[in-house]
Amino acid sequence: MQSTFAPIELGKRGIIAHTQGLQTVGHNMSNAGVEGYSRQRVEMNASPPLYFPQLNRENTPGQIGQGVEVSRIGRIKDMLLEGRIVSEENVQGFWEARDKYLLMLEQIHNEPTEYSVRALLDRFWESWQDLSLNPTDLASRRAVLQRSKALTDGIHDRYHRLKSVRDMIEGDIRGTVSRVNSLGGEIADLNSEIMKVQALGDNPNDLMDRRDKLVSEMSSIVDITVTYNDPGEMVVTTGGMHLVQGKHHESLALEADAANEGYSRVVWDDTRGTAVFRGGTLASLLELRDGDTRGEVQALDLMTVNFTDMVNEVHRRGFGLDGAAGTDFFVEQPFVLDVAGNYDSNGDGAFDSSRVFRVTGANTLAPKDLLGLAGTLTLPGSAGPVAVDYQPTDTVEDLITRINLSGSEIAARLNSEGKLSLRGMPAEDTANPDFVIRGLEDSGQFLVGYSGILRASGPAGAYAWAQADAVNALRQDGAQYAVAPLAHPAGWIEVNPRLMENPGSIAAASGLAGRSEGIGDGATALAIAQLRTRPVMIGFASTFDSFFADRIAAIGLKGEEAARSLETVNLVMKELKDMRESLSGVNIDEELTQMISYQHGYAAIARFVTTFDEMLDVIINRMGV
Amino acid sequence: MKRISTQLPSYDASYYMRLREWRMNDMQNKMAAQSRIKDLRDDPLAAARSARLQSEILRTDRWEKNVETVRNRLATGEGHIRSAVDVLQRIRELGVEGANGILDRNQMGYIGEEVNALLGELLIIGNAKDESGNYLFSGSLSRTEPFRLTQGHVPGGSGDMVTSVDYLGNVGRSSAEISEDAEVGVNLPGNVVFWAEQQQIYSTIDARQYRVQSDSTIRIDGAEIRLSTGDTVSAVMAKINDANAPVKARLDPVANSLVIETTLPHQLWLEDIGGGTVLQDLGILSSGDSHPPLNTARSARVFGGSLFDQVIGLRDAFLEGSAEKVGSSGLRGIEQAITSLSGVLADVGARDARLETTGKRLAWEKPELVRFDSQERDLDLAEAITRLKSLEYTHEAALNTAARVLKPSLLDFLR
Repeated sequence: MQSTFAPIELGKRGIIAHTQGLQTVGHNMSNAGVEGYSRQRVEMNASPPLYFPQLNRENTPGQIGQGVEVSRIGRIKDMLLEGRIVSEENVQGFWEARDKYLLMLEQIHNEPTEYSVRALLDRFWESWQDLSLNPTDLASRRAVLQRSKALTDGIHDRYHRLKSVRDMIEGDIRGTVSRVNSLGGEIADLNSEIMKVQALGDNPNDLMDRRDKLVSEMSSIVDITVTYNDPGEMVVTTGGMHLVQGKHHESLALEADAANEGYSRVVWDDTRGTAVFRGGTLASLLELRDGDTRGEVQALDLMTVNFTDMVNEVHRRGFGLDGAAGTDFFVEQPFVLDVAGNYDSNGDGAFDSSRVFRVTGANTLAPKDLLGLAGTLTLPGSAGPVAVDYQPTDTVEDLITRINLSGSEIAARLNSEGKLSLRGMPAEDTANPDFVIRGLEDSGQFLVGYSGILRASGPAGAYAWAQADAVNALRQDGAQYAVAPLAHPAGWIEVNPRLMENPGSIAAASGLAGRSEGIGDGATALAIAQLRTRPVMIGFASTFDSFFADRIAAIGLKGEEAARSLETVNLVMKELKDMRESLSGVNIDEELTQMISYQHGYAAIARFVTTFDEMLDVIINRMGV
Repeated sequence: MKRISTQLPSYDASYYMRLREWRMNDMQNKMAAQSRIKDLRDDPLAAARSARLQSEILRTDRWEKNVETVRNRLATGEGHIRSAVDVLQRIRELGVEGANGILDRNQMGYIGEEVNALLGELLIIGNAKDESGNYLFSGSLSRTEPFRLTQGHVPGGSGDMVTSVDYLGNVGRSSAEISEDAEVGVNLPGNVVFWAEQQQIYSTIDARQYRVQSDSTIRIDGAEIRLSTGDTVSAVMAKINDANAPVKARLDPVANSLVIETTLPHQLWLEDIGGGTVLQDLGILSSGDSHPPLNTARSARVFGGSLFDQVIGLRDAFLEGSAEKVGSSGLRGIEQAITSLSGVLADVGARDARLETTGKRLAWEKPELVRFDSQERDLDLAEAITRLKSLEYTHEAALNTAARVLKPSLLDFLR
């Protein structure tokens, strides 16, 4: 037996359900343009029938339906797809930052134009050619000075632009780290909201959309993994460390790194341990700052140091119009002040290391001579010592090539007098200083008796930088050394001011035993002009020409890779987002048809209520009692 | 069932339009800059090659300039040498005239005066300067007058006359680079150009027991020769003969002393370098630090003289009135001077020919390099325009489509 008024209750349910349906349609249409919004659907079920036949078997066939009810409002979202988008965001964030900054680095090269450092260097060599033909001509001397000034200005400018890119990246890192922290906080807050709502058995659709959006933004910055441990507890980790766990989150912090020119290191706020990232904007920025940009600065420094050293080496042996000899053409400041290269690295007031840039042997070697000796050289490399073997059948030239290609941070060449010259290279590890020879050891006699650099062979006679007066291991009679630059050479190189005041002191002439060949001699000028194509060994590049070509190709290829990768990931991202959009996006036409159906449903159920009302009216008012 | 969201077509349209607009902008930039490499990433390898080529072009330019400069200098020198030859020809004519023996003493004297005047002319040529005030024939001592005159009374002559001419320049040979690793000598040292006879220096010290006492260096005509401890005189001679200098060393068969002689008429230029004493010990050079050519040992005998010595000899023979001397040593000296000068002219001509060849090669190479560079760097305008046009066309089509697709919705039909 059922209630007389039951159909009215049924009608009310129908009206409420359809109103809710219509409201959701409205909500969907209103949010059609909101980024990250996923459309919502009202799921309606038939209400459970009023009674259960097994309880009371009355003479009624079947169960009597009780209308409709809204079981849940769900969002339509593929969490698997969302996971892929989140991980692609990471790749996209990485390449976006890389593409942007590499383009800046490329533009700093100014190639291939007539305003690049390479072009200025070409003009510098050209002016020496001119001087070699007109050594007595003051105009040619002034031209050399002006071109040199233009070159040093060009090098300074490039250095400062690289430096400002590095500073810009540093600023970007600071901003990015604080963004990670605020994202972590927001996600943690949302987590606690979501947990509360879910505890009540509701679906916090809009909050979840918002959280998904924040997670994908976070993923573009750092490489994260998202897991849902306990029901409702969401965990975000990076590199095995928790960033967010439920309503808690960990912060990142910055620490100035003295070994890395004061640029900051990203650490965990609580443990102060270094945070390591493998993807996303932050990893990209760190790599750009300490890898690519630092590499560019180091390459420029390397070029400058070698260039200065070699021009000075030739220039010092030449003679000016005034008979002056032994003048440096370029000056660099500040170098290590101690003549033995002793330096106090940790600032405790005592010398603890020796910073020597170049050592030159006492003996004159011929490149084609057979060594007739066997042994192993131990040289410092980026990842520990590098061993270079030599056999009696090797020529001097062979061994020099082998040293240069060994991957050690030492470059070897025979200088203009045919003496073996070993030079420190930029260090790959920020903990090691650039342009410092960190160690030399020879188990045989090549570095010892043959070329005349070290006093003794074996570990006992090894040269090691991490002590004061390390130069005592060098041969005292004839082995020469030059101390290392402290600051970036590219930022400091200047033409010797004495020459600027007195162009006559520029050494164009050669001479012997302290006597100039005469003011009309241009041999030194020619020798300087010819350094351009001489094998000078700046790193792997043998000449200045190949050095520049190599740098151009290297940075260009990096940029090309970044641009291509970004384009690829953009396409992938577009595909994925299209897929998400096609699943979760709002389609107005669809919503409108839904609206029409709810509208008509509403009208129909309202009609039902009216009809039943009329029926009740018949019973109540017109039935004759 | 496939579905899309209402926003999707507009997202798509804007994505592709942005991409295309970026490409059009990129293309337009490249066309404006007339370069296919706007950023290095556009073609890193071509950019690297282009940088190399640009350096190479600048260098080739420089070599061309060097070739021109050196040719001009040699031409200036050659002009002076030619006039010296002309003067010498005139002197020879006078010599032939005087050697007849039919002239009387007075007439011989007059000719002597004329030869003296011509000597003056030769000295002016020897001390000639170029346009920037540098002496042409002083080696690398550009501002030092190469030939110093000593004047005095000459028997039979009237007034002071030049009695000897000393060379004060040096043997410095400056060179210019005319292509990769190729150099050419620029200057003409006066003691080569104006030299008439082979020069010989005879030491008087028996050198058979000689050993070099310590590693030392000697320099002959600017070429350095390294000697090691214990070298015997034959080792020293072998090293001198092997050196890159037109000089020969031998032992005098009688005195067993060292003899150094030229193989091409010029003045010997011998030095002990850096405190070594090998040539001093061998009795060739004097001790002390006097510079060449005034550093030969007093005991050594020196033969062979300059062109000026020959003319002075002829003049003196005329003034003396000795037709026999004029005809023998006088004329022979002049002949040698002319031969030697002609040799120098031939050398200058050969150098000039080499420079001309190099110049032609450079002139041919440069446009090639420019062309290679252009291939690497410059934009193919026809292709660029075609591509820009096709981008433009597709862009227009896309806009058109977007306008059509994005417009209608169910809303347009709901009343």
